[in-house]
Amino acid sequence: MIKIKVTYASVLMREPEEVELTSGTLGELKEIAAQKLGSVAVCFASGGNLLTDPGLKLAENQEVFIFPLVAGG
Amino acid sequence: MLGFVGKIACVNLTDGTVEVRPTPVKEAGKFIGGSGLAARLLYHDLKPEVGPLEEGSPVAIFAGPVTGTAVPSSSRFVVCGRSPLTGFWGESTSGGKFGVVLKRAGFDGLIITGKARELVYLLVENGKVEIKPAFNLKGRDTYGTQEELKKVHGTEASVACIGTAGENLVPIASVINDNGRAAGRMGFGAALGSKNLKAIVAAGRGEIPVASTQALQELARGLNALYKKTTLLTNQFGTLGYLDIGYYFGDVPVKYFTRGIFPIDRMNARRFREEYAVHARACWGCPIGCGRELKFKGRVVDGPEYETAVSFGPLLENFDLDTIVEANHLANCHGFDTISAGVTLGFLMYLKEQNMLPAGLKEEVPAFGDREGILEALKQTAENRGIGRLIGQGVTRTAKELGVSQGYAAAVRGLEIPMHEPRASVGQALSYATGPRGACHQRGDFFQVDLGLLKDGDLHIRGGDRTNLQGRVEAVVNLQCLRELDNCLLKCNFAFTPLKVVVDALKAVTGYPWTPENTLQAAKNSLAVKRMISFNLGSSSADDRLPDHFRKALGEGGAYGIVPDIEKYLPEFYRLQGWNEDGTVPRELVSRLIADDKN
Repeated sequence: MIKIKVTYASVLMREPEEVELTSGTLGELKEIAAQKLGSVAVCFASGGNLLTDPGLKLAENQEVFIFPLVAGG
Repeated sequence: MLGFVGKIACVNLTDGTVEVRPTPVKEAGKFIGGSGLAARLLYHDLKPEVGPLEEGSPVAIFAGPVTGTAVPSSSRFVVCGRSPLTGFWGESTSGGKFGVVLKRAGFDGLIITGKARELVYLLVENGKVEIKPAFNLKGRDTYGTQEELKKVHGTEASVACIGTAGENLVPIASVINDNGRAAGRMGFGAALGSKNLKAIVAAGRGEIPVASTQALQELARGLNALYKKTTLLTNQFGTLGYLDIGYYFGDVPVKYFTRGIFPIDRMNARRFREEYAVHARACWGCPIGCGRELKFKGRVVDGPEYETAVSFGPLLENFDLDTIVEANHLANCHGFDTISAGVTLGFLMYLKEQNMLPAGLKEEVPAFGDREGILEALKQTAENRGIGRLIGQGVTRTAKELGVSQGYAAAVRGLEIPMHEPRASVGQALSYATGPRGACHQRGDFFQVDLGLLKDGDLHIRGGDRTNLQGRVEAVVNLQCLRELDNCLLKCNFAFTPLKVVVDALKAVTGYPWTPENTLQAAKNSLAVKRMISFNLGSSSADDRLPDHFRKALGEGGAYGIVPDIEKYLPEFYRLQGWNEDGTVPRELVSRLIADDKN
């Protein structure tokens, strides 16, 4: 069990929070995010890098940024 | 080939003649339409000895084959020719409904040459084009011009026009249509102004023929559902929703590209929504609705989109929302490009701070963050006076006039770098350096690929290490081709569509046997011809680079420490585009593409 720190893009209208993960993987975080955000498709990043591999192990207190598709033109 | 209404009007404003020619649909097999077809048709007429503001320089205004059909988000049109800003190939697209009404009025495009003796406008209606006097519109802003012409021609008409900036031949002047929609970049407002052409009014209800209504409707249903799902938050927040996402990755330029952080809590989409009563506005037939209208000082104005908010915001170290909204309204009213204006003003502010301005000029240029100074400078831009004259000619010419190295001028091929920091994405940097019109975020928005927001598995377009393009140059090329298709079909690039769906849409509209292979080749053909035009007008492969300003790493923010080394990727980029090793377009390819002048 680990705790990570999650911040959201402002358009997701959610405050930063700590999230507990049992397996500690990105895949688990994706499942939790899907429950919280419904059908909005989102991406994940940490330390300025995109996270895509569901098997990626996250670290205790790791900061993860969750953001959706928004046209930036 | 269907999708076209079959006619192009060639208007000569010097002698007041209008010649209607058949649309050369045979060429559409090579270039699809839109800006690609326009480039092909203008190829021989864009000559180095004819300046972009001279009578003989043609301006083309084209819709595309999907414009006005059931394909969602396809209302766009393009203005193209020799850019008054850069002197090279120029093109600028806009939404609203003008492109749709142009086709319903019976024309796929207009090619305008010459210069009227007095200020005029064109009335394009039911298969005819008339030249009408516009002396009463002289000096009117773009909103007033549209309102006046709709009083005469009805509210269903669509008006594309210029403001005072275009009349004053400001090289960054825009063409504005359907309230505040803008063919913003490259200065075509000045090109129309040089022809004494204040506006074009399109009116008509003609049919646009398509090959398969049923296939198109099925496709449209699927695309509408897809776009609604994938762009839900763009609808709710507009493109400003990208602000804090871009900020996280260091993609938002700050203080003339010298910093990477700013108080994002003071300036993001939520703040805009809390500050103003905002509602979404959509172009014709678009489920996305990225446009904003907001209440500001007792009136309803078009709200700033992301590029504008950053150009007049963090880039100038200005975080006052009212100033940004007012600056955007000024630019729309007078008709000039917000990106070019913001970058050039930022450049002057930077030179002031670095003590690089001549003594007399230093007092005139506002300091970073000077809100009143920013608004005053922009007013002067529309009037082509004071420091506004420098801002209005863009960063490249301003650097030249001031005797400052071009290395400080944030532009590629004379077009100012937009609001996506090239050091935040090496793929974006390569796209800027090789874009068909100069530094452009819409003709290769690779930053969105690096953020995992755009994907097309068939074209190997997928997110990856944004500091390194190893193994991903093909993705940059393919995204540039996909975006070229947007400008040939004339489809909005916010509605990202994988190649195979683009092909299905093209087939349903045109009835032509498009395949992924020949569609991608058409995009490459279009890019090749545009590049050849720019090279004929004085550009070269040596322009495929970023200014030295971007060779220094930022010391903070999400792009910390990254310096894109794009030169090492150029050989592969050229090869994959089908160009020669030195970046020139193969002579035999050009010969083949422009060989047949008869249709």
